[in-house]
Amino acid sequence: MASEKKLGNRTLKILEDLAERIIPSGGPDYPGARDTALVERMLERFGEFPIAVTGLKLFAWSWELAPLWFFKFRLFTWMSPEQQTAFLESWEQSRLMLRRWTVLLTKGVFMAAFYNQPLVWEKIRYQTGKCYRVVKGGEGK
Amino acid sequence: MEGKLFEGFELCGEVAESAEVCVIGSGAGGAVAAKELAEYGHSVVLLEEGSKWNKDNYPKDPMDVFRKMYRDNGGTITLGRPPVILPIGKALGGTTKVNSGTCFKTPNKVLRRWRREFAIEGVEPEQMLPYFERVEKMVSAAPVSREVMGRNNEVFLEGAKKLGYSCGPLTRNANENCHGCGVCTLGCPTDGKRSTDLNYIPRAVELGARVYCNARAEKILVKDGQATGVGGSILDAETGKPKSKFSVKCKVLVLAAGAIHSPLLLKKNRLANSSGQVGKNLRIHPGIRVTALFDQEIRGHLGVPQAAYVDEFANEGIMLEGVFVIPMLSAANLPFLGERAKELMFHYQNLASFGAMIMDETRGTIYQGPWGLPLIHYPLSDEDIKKASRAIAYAAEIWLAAGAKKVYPAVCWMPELTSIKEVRVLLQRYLKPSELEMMAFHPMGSCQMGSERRTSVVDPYGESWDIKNLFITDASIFPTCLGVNPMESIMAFANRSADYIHKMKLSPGSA
Repeated sequence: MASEKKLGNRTLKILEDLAERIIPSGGPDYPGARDTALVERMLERFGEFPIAVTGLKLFAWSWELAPLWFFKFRLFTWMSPEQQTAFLESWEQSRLMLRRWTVLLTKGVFMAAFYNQPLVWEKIRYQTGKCYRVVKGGEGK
Repeated sequence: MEGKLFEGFELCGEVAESAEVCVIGSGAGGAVAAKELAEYGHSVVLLEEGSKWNKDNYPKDPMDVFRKMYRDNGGTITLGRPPVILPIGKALGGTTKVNSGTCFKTPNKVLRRWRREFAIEGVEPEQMLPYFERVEKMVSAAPVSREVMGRNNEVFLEGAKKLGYSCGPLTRNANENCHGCGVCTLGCPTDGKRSTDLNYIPRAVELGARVYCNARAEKILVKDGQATGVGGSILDAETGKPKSKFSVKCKVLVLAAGAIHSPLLLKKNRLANSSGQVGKNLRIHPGIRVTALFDQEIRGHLGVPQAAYVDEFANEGIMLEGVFVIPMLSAANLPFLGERAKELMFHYQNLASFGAMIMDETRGTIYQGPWGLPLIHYPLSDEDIKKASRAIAYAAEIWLAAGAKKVYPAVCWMPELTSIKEVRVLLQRYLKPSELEMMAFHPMGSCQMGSERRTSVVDPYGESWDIKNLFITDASIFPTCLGVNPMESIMAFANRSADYIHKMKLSPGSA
C-alpha cells in the first residue's frame, strides 16, 4: 500500500508497538490492535490525505525518540512490551500537561480507530443507531 | 424572488446575487434571521459553507461524520491550561445539526445581569419571553418523554432524587420521529431532531430566500462605512477546495458564522474592531464528562444522550446534563491503557456518563492562525478550576448515590473513585488546570454587545458600532456565559435582531 511504503517499516513498527500497548491483542474478551490490523486500517484512511501521512510519520518518530528526553537512553521500539507500557502509563499519569496530553491524544487516535469497527462493536454489544423505543418495547415482551 | 436551495455541485461558474439581506451562516443565528426577514417580505440570500445532509444521505461511518459535518474534523482545540476540545458543526443547519438539541431559555438572572452590568436595553425577561415562545414553537421544543430518555439519564435522575437535588427531563427540539437512537451528535438519522435545516431554512425558502450550500464567505464589502455585500468561494463538496467565486450585493449583512468564525472573518477583513474587542472575551462553557461503572447493565447508548439535567447547583454556575457517546469517543475519555482500558470498555453496556458544565468567567481570545485557521487561547482561571472540581464532585456523588461501583472523574491523579470519602478528597484538594480533561461545545462572547462602542463590538441589537448595516446574530454577541446550552438564546436574540432590522433598516421610511 502506498502510505505503508511512504512510511517505511521502521515507522510502521513504532505505530504497531504504540497501538499494541494501548489496545493489546489476545485475551478472552475481544481482539486488540494487531488482531484487527489496526495500523493498516488507519493508514488506509490516512492515505486519503498526504499531509496526514507525513504528520503520522512525525508523530511516530516523536514517540520513538521520547524516552531519550527522559534519560532512558533507548528508543521506544527497543524497550520490552512491559517497559513500553510502563513508559506510556507514566506519561498518562503525569502532571506535566504536555506529557499527559501527548499520551491522551495518542490514545484518542488509536482508540477512536479501534472502537469504530463493527467487529469490536459486536464484542461490546454496541448497537449503532438502534431505536430505543424498539429495544425498550422488546424488553417488555 | 423565487426561493431555492442550491448545493455546491449544482453551481458552475461565478454566482452573482443581489438581495436586501445577505446572511452568513445557517445555524441557530443565521437561519432564524433569514426566515424572519423573509417572512417580513424582504429578499434574502443565505450562505452556508457546509453541505446539506439529511436522513437519506448521512455518512454511515462516524469518522466520516466528523470529517464532513464538523469543522477541522471535529478537532478544534483551544490552547491554554488545559487544552479544551471544542467541536463545531459545519453543515446546512450549522451546529444545530450535530448538537444534542437541548433548549433552555436564557436564565432570567443572566438577562438581568446584562441589563444591570452592561446596560443592554430590551433584554428584560418579560421583553424576551415572546421571542423564546416563538422560537420554541418553531423548533417543536418539548420535554423528553420517558419513552426515549434512556437508562443513562434515568439512573442519574434516580441518584439526584435520592439526594434531594432539583432535576428533571430536558426540553429538546425533537418531534415524534425521535426514537432515541442515541446519535444526536452524529446528525439525526430519523430527522426527529429539528435542526434549523428542517424548520427555519425550508420555511425561509418557501418565503423566497435563496440558500447557497458550500459557499464560503471570505470578503466583506464595505463602502462609506456601510456593509454592501460579501464575496467568497463556492467549494467542491467532496474536497472542500474552491471551484468558483460568488458575490452578493445587499443592503444589510447578517454575520452568523458562530462565536469562533464570526470574529475570525472580521479579523481577516480588518473590520469592526475600533474597540479592540473582536475575538476577545471568549467563553466556552467548558465541561467534564464524569463516567460511572455499574454492576447492572445501563446500555447508555440507547435513548436520547442528553435527556436530563440537575440544576441544583445553578447558582454556583454548575449545570449537570446527560451525555453518552459512541464507543470511539467513550474509550478515549476513560482512564488507563492496555488491558485495564480494554476491560473497562468490555463493560461498555454497564457504563453511564453525565456531563458537568461550568459557567466560566475565564476570557479567551481568538487569533488568526496559519492557513486561516483560528488560534484560540483559553487559560482556565483559578475560580473556574474550583468550580470544575466542585462540578465533578457533585456528579460523582450522584453516581455513587445511584449505585455506581466506580466513578471515573477525568482527573489525572484520581483515575477512579469508589466512595464519598474520595469525593471529599477531590473537593478539598486544589486541582491544577493541567490535571483536568475538559471539553466544550458552547463558544460565545467573542464579539460582545454592549451599550458603549468603546468596550463592545456591536450595539444591543447586534449592529456593529463601526460598520453600518452589519449585524451579528450568533452566540458571539453574548456578554457573559449563559450557564446553559445556548441554542434557544441564539435563536431568540437573532429573532429580536431580525425585528429590529426590519423596523429600523428595511421598512419604508426607515433611516
